[in-house]
Amino acid sequence: MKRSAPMRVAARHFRRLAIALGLVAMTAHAQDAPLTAAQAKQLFNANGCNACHAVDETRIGPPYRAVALRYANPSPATLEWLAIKIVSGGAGSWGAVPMVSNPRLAPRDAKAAARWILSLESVGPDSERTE
Amino acid sequence: MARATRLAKSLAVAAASASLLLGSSPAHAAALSGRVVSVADGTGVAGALVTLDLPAGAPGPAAITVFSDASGEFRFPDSPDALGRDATLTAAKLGYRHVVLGGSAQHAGASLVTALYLAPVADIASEAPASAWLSRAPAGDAKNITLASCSSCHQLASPRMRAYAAQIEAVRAGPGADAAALEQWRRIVRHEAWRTIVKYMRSLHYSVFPLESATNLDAVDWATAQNADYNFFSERQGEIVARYLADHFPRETASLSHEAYATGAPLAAGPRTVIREFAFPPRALVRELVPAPGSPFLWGADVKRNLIVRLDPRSGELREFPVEYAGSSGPHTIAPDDSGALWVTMVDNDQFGRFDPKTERWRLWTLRPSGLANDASLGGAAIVHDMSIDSRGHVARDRAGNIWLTMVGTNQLGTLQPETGDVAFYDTHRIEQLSPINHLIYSAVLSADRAQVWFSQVNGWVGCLDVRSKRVTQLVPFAEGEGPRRMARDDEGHLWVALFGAGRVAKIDMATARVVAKFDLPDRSAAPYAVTWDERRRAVWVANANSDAIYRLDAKTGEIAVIPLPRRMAYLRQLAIDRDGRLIGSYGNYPEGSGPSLGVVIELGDEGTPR
Repeated sequence: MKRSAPMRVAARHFRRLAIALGLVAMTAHAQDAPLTAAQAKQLFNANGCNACHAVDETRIGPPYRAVALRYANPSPATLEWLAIKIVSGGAGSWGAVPMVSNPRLAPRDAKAAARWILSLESVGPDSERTE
Repeated sequence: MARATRLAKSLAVAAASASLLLGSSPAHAAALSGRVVSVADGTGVAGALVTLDLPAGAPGPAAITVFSDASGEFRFPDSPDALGRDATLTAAKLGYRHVVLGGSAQHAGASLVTALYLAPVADIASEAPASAWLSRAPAGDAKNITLASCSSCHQLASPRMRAYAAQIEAVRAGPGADAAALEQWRRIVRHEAWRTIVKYMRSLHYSVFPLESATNLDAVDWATAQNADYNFFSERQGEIVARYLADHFPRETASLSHEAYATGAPLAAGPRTVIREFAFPPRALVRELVPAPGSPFLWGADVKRNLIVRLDPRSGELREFPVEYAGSSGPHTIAPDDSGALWVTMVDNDQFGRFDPKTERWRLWTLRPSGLANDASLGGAAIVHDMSIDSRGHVARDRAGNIWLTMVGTNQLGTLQPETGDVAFYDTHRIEQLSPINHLIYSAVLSADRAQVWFSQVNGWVGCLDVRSKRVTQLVPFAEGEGPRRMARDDEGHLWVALFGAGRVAKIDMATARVVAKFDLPDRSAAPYAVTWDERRRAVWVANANSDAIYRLDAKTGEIAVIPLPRRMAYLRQLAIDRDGRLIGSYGNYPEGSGPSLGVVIELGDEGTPR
């Protein structure tokens, strides 16, 4: 059965919409995928995070693992809050000296960075190092 | 009252849409002209920048800027094909804000005519260059040291610095009830915060190298990263910088009075001046762009991506040529020779290269002085920096055929005989309490008789080395922080020196090694990075890191004029002049992503432009 012109247009729009929604879903999935260690290294280097922080080493700011310890078992709200803090900077959590803002960092990347940091396991007698 | 309300509504609309969208006008062949008008009194605004931003991906420049004349009239000389698409037209002048009052461009015969409106503003925070924020900070050695140290890598005061200052002022948790105690506590926090930033900067500059580089922060241990001897400012200078910023960095960073800053000089641009900007990839870090004899292209060095880039200014087309080196190379400085070959110094792995545009092949040499640590990090790197140039900025060889190079890692001058591959290294001037890298030996200029090579040290002096005896024969002292950076030689025996920290230009008589004049730039916080001799116009062009402007210094009269650039964060390092008298440069975008990633070509349309 042949479709009318309006129906063909509608079908074309529907196909486009479906493709677009599929792309959005795929992108959303990619955004939620945890960073690998290599991706995290690239991200932290490209944005100069490693000029202040390291996984275990105390540089200028707290080591990432210390951050993970403080915010163990984070709620989604905590994750969002940390991501905002990475972009906007702030002070008070680790002393009075503020952390610089990172306005060029996309919120998606900031959230991925926060998630990666909080995924670090603590190091102690009962745990093994992840690196 | 009703008129005032309508105007206010118009201004509110303008805040949301600061430029005029040309829309889908079918004016492919039309010339574009119009008038910039002040909404305050309806008169034309002279000297405004009118910028046509073209759609991304369109052939040709990414943007074209012209200047309005004394009556506010402007005219674009050519009509790009993209004009009929989603191009936007914006007017700008310091002290004004572009407002959109409705309406659109009108056809008048073959022309497209439009009016652009500017409203005077009291707050110039969003339009002023970074340097404006230091206009009221006290002058002196400490300010010069701060400018020379910080602006080597980024604009001062950049938006991120201002955001950080705001964070410091927002810190809570100190004594709350006693105002005097709170202020005392804040003084401590300010100082500690800026000391922290100095530490951050020492390590941050390692992270701008590619990950595969041995000088990347990921490959450098933390103690090395924080070692001031391997940095461009000493431990003591770092403390001076922190103290100065704590005491004098503006506390109020949300607004800036229009009375605080002015460009301070007459325009060096006129209604026939055209600025064309060309897009580089956002991740590119092309800091220098030069023409080459016999080539229609412009050539840039990309320090981040280990390549040079070729820009066709006719089409905007880019081609990239990776350095043929197995590892990170970090192309830093690029200069042509008389034959049209490109010579490139590299900060990574002690490399110096020659690229032949005809064969598209590289030849590389390794320049590694003895005495360097066996460590590829900055503490053990030669850091091949600048090569000897003549008055046109072309690579120049001494009488023995040697190219002279500044070696930051050892504070030496090196020589390369390209035909034999022979290299040698010679000591320069040394200042107590500075490590070799702290001196930041920078520029090299060969004298007209090719018997002397002049060098500058950003944290030191200017000197002259005799190419036969290989000894330093002349020294020109400068105060700490004045920051002699890039130099140029004119054809009358003078050496012109950009004083990066002091915001001045020095003129040295090369025969006597005496400073015969120092010229104050209109903006002393401009951080003049380089000077370029313009033989045709008998002028020195000054490229500035901080002020989003270029200065023209008349060699005979000492008069200075300014060309404001159409971009903020236009960290300009170097200018070259092509055979048609155009100025060629590139915005630094350093660190990568902090500014516009654009090459810039300026057609002055003055008496020095061939008709």
